[in-house]
Amino acid sequence: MKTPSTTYHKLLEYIDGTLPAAEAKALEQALEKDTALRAKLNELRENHSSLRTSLPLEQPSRDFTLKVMENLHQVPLQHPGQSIRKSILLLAGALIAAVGTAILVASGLFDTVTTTLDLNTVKPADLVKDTIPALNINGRVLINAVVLANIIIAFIVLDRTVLKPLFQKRLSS
Amino acid sequence: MIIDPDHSVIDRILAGDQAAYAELVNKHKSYAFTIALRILQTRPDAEEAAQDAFIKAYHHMRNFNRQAKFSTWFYRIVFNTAVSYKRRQRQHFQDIESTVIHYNQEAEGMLEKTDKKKYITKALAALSEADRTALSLFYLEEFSMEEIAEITGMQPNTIKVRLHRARLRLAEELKTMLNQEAITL
Repeated sequence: MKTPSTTYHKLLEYIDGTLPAAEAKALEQALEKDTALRAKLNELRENHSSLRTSLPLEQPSRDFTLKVMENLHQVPLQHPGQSIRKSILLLAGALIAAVGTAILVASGLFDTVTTTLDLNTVKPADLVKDTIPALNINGRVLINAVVLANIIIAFIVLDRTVLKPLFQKRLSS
Repeated sequence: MIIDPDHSVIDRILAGDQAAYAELVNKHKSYAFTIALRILQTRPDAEEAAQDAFIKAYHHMRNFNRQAKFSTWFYRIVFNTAVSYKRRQRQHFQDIESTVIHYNQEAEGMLEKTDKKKYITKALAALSEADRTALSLFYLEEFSMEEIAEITGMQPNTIKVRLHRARLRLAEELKTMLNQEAITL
């Protein structure tokens, strides 16, 4: 069954004259039977004609061309510079955090950090009858996962905010 | 490669005839200004963004590969420049609500004479800038769906769906406004 949204999209295509002939015929048959659909078509048609007159081509000021020609020698402003600087700082922060944590992991600081999460103590006894197996959490594994996630984030930051704008700048120069 | 009358003007500009650029500016300034105005919603900002786009296009003219029409390539620059201006407006902590009010007042004073037009302007202001620009380009009836997609940096299928959604949303906004007006009468 078609949703109203699908039918409305078809109504717009029908108004634009881009609906395939077979579908247009089927829609016309549906319109004959459905008064609500006919009302929607009229509403969209009315908006369509109003929009055609309400969105005119605007005219800039009279001295527009003169201003452009006078400023043609100016080099266009480049805004991404500051953004790249901030991105490099962000990247450096992420890498320092990753390297620092990796050094701490290598020194064995987290080797002794282990804990067991026993959910049986907090489970609602009336709802869950079975025994839930306890989870052993190893600090070293957990921190390694955090370091890995940090390195992945650093790579994404490097790609999106440093390398991509840099290559785009090279291409455009 | 496509045949575009602008290409011969570009050849003259690239050969050093800077004054020839005025021909391109005169030809495309209205569309450039209209696109910028739909995104930025204030005439001074739109004028500045459109001028900036023309200057950018001039400095990057050698990068234009002539695989598309100059107008499509250039209006993409206008679109991106206006969006970038809009971001800067937001960075200056300009409240979006005050922008909408300013737009309505300005548009009301300058353009709108009939109630229907007034409501359409208000309903348009409620749409996102990408939707507003796409609708604007569509109703200027100058651009194909592919060209609108190219200018706004979207896929042709995406722009088609986006346009349909924007038109339906606009219809809903209008209906809500007219209902509210009826209640207050």
